[in-house]
Amino acid sequence: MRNGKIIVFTCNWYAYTGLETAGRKHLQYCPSVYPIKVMCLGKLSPGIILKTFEKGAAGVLMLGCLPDECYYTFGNRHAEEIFQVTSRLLRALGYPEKRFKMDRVAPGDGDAWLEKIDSFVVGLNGDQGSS
Amino acid sequence: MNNGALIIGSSLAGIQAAQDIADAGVDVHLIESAPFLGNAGAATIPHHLFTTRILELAKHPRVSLWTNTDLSQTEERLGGFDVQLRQHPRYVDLQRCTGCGDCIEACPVTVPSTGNKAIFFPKGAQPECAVIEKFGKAPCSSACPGGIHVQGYVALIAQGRFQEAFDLICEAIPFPGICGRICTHPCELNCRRTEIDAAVAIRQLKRFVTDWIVQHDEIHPSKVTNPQVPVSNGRRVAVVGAGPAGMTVAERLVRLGYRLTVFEKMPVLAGMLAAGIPAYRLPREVIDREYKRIQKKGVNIRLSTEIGPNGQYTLDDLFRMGYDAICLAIGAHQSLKLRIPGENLPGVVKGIQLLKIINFSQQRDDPSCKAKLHQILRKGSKTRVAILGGGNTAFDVARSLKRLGIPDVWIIYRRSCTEMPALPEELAETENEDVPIQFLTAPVRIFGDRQAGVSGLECIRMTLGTPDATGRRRPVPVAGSEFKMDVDLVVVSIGQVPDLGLLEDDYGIFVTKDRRIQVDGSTFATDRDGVFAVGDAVTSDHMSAIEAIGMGKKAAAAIDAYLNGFASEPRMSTTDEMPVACRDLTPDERSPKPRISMPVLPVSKRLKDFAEVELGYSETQAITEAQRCLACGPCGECMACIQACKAQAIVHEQRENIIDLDIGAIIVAEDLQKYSHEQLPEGRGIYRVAPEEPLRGSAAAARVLASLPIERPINVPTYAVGADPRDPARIGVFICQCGGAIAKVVDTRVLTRCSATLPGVIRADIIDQACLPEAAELIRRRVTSDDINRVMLAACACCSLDQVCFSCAYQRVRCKQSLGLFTHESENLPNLESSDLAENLAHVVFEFVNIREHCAWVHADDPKAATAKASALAASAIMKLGLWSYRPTQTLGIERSVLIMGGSPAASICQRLLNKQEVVTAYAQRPPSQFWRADGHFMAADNSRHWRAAAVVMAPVDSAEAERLCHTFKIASKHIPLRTDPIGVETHLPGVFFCDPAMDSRTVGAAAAAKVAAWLSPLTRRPGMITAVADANRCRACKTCIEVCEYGAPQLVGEESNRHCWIDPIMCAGCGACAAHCPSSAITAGYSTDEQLDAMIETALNDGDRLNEKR
Repeated sequence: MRNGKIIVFTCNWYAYTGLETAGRKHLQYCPSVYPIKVMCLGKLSPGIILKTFEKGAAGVLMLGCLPDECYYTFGNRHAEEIFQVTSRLLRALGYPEKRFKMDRVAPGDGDAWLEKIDSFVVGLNGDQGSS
Repeated sequence: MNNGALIIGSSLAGIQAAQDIADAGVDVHLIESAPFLGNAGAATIPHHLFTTRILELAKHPRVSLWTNTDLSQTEERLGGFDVQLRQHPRYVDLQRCTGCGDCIEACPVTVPSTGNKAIFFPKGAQPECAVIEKFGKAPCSSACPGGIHVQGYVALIAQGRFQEAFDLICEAIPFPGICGRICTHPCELNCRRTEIDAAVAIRQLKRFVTDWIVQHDEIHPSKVTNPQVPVSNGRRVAVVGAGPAGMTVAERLVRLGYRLTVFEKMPVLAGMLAAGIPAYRLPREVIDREYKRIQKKGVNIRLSTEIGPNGQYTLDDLFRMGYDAICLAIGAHQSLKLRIPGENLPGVVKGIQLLKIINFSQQRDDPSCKAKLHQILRKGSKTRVAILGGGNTAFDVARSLKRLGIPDVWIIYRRSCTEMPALPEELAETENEDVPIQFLTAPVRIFGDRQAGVSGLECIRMTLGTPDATGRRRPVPVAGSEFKMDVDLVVVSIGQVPDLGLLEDDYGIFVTKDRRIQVDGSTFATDRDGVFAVGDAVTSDHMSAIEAIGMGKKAAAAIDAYLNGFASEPRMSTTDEMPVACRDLTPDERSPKPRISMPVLPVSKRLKDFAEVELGYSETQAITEAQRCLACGPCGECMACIQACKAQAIVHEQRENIIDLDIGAIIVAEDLQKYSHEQLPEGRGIYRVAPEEPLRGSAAAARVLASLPIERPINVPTYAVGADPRDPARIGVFICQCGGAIAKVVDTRVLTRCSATLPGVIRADIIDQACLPEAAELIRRRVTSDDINRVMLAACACCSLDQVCFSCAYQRVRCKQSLGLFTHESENLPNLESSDLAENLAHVVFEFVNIREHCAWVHADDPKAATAKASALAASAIMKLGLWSYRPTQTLGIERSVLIMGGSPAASICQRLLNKQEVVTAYAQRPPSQFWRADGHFMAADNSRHWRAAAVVMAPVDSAEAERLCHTFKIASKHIPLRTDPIGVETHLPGVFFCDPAMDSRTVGAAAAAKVAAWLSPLTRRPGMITAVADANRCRACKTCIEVCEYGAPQLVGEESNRHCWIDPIMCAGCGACAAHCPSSAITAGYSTDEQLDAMIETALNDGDRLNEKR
């Protein structure tokens, strides 16, 4: 947690469009949030997430699509499984729950993106962490 | 022959039809009468989906989108139509507008009926580029002979933007202050407020800004008031006469780099302006100021220098002195004669002469003028004066005499006040100053003798008869109405002609019989080569100053053309064929708002001296008055948008564009009346669809495809995966400033410095706007000069994939398009020539990162953090590029074949339409019992039969058969039911289409045919950079990927001893789930490999340390 950066994995479709819309609307949020886009959250393996923590991420948020609306029809189900597995691994390794979360955003919902990001940052750092 | 398809209307059905036809490889022209696409019915699908559909069309190599376009003509011919489109001007270049909205902020005009600015784009509209609402020229601007954008400066004044208003006026004319006082203001006469109450006080507003500039210029030095002398082009022009016409010629030409000398016979600047207009109307300091401004621009004025046989130089002298052209602007200074008895008596003077004497004795304190004046007013204040005439000169004389303390002054005019050439306000003020005006009265004779001078004047009453040549009613004397007035001085001011003394010798210049210099109407050339003439000297209509200025501008352009040997198009536009805007006014606009009356000096004070009568508006008064403007344009051409636009995307000169097309078939997908006044012929080649039904759009597309002669490729498309970048990585980094939108938060210099030190980076450049053609040009140059094979562009575009995602935007598509990212495979496509650009960049691997929406705009209040983050994201992308590994290219031969199943009539409709396109169709009425994929094809078999096809269509007759078909169809190892689209024919599997038995079978069968045709085209099967690839050497044939994938893309292939995974690139959607699950990491998939992801995460988290070193 040495530099307090937060990695947000977004799927290319719903969550990423939320991020872009937030940008278009000039919604301001914490600059330690670093988005990394993958086509589908189902592409993430527990190994990559563990490595992200190992490299010093303060937190990791998986932001994906709404249930049953995956662009790839089944990817979000895999993402949920991966999240569960990884959460268990992280807990076993002693990471507090607040450092790894998963959430969903409707396509182009910039306000929802902001809200999810803010609540993750607040959950992680307490109120003063949110910008 | 083109033989493409024309789609009328960007409705959902129209867009769908365009996509399907173009995907099948046929050229499509889609027209929309509005400036933005999809106004009809777009609301019925989610906005992000609609946007992606439009952008898919925008990037499609087969689609031409025509916005603002009508159908002006359609003629049927054998096998198609000759179609003519009319594209109305947008006034904004779709290739350059970045959608930043700066112009909208700068625009001073809000259109009352819509609440939009005159330049605007609705939020979320596509293309995301502004449009100017300009129905024509505003009546005021159109009426101005000087070509001032009148409505524009009024709009700027209404916003308190006085400097901009002043600059706009000065761009058009050199004398804003003079015109602000004495202009005859044709603009006001044409103002549409006269329909409601009174014209906007335009002249007074112009005066206000010029006065404001005088008071504020030291605070805001303007480029107009402090001009730079332009670089000389080495050629010299002489102008004879320093009046408004001559000075305008000089001022226009000096701007183009000519060296100008103006010769003036009189000892004062400004010709008739100074000699003939009294100071209470036009203060001398206003004249001085504006002439000095022109002199500052480099125009040399030589006073008291007469040209002609009696003067210092002749015209020949001037040519000998090295002038390349001469422009005569000598005005009309010789008064016309009355031709009545007694005209030559002492005590009869010419109006213009008297004005000159009064003005010079006033402003120059000239003793000889004072003596002359004393002699003319021989009875001093007791002199009784009759002034003959109804022009401004008559009134100027009367009011000047009043100021010299002469109480008994009459004006005698032979017509009524409606025919009078003087301005109404001039008449009103003269009457206020107690000068009686005798209308319909004409002089008959002047009494007096040579010694004592004038003693009286006999007049006769007139009545108005029929109109004469000038259109005014001719005055006719009333017999027996003669009467006598006792007067001491008669002033004749009934008009003037030019003093053509300078042409007395034979100069080769022709003079007309009404004593004017004859010139060519458009070139202003006299009969002598190199000599031009302009102003009152060439026209017998008495010109106002603004008309003289307007003519001066045209003459300057003509002289420039002459001196350039007519080699180039006129460099200064002088004509404008725009219609006059006349829009409907809203009831609110029609409510009266009284004109702000001009504060004036009280009569009691003004007659003491020649102090200016009109006092001018205050700032508040000027703004309130300017706000009365109705914005007729509604664009007033104030050019503020041009100033604001960093991308130089505004084209106010754009005009209607006519496009002739050869069209094979037409689909009408919207109300035709919006596009054409005439009806289209009924019958072959024309298809009408309900705008809101995309499925019907597809069905119409299939019929169009079946009807057109086949010129499309029927060859076997190949399928290639992956790229082959040359090693080692030579990375070029480009950082977009987005015209300041990025650069004002993110320090782009820090970004380039940091990027330049990363491994593999050859160079890092800042570019201004990545979505403009010149950016692509620069990148291409760098790629060639520095042998770059990978490019990282930090801008707003966010992926280099050949696809449109939900978050894509018009400018991003344009950026990627100009970098050739959508045409890499164009060599596979006959008739599509890949551009040079694409060829030069074809080997380059691109990576983009969005530092605008991800950094600049969301951390605007923390530039340091925003820069750090942008640097880290850019570094991540560069690291990813460095790790780009070679991915093998594979080729798959795909047949042009389809297997159709099911008992619905849709099946035979689909089959028939596809047969016409030479697609091999097989029909299985009873579904086969077994399906699988092999070699990129669908395979099917039952006991006796065997099928192989590139696509599959299911057309069940009822829901029972539908269920059975979906149940049997199974290509993945585990059973995954086919997911169908409730409103379309697509399924979750690529190449598999489903005709819902609940829908109209004709529509759904045809729609399926369109989708199959599109699917079989090489255009839709471009290589996917994100497609999964399995490494046979690492694969353990554990089948995990096959379990994971619901598209059936991974398959086990190879001999029993060497079973390994192969991923069918046609079925792979690129999600990457198989790669995540592969226990031996044999699969790479998705936009980043695991190795790349790893490096990106590492860089994103740890870039800060490096950044701190580089700051």
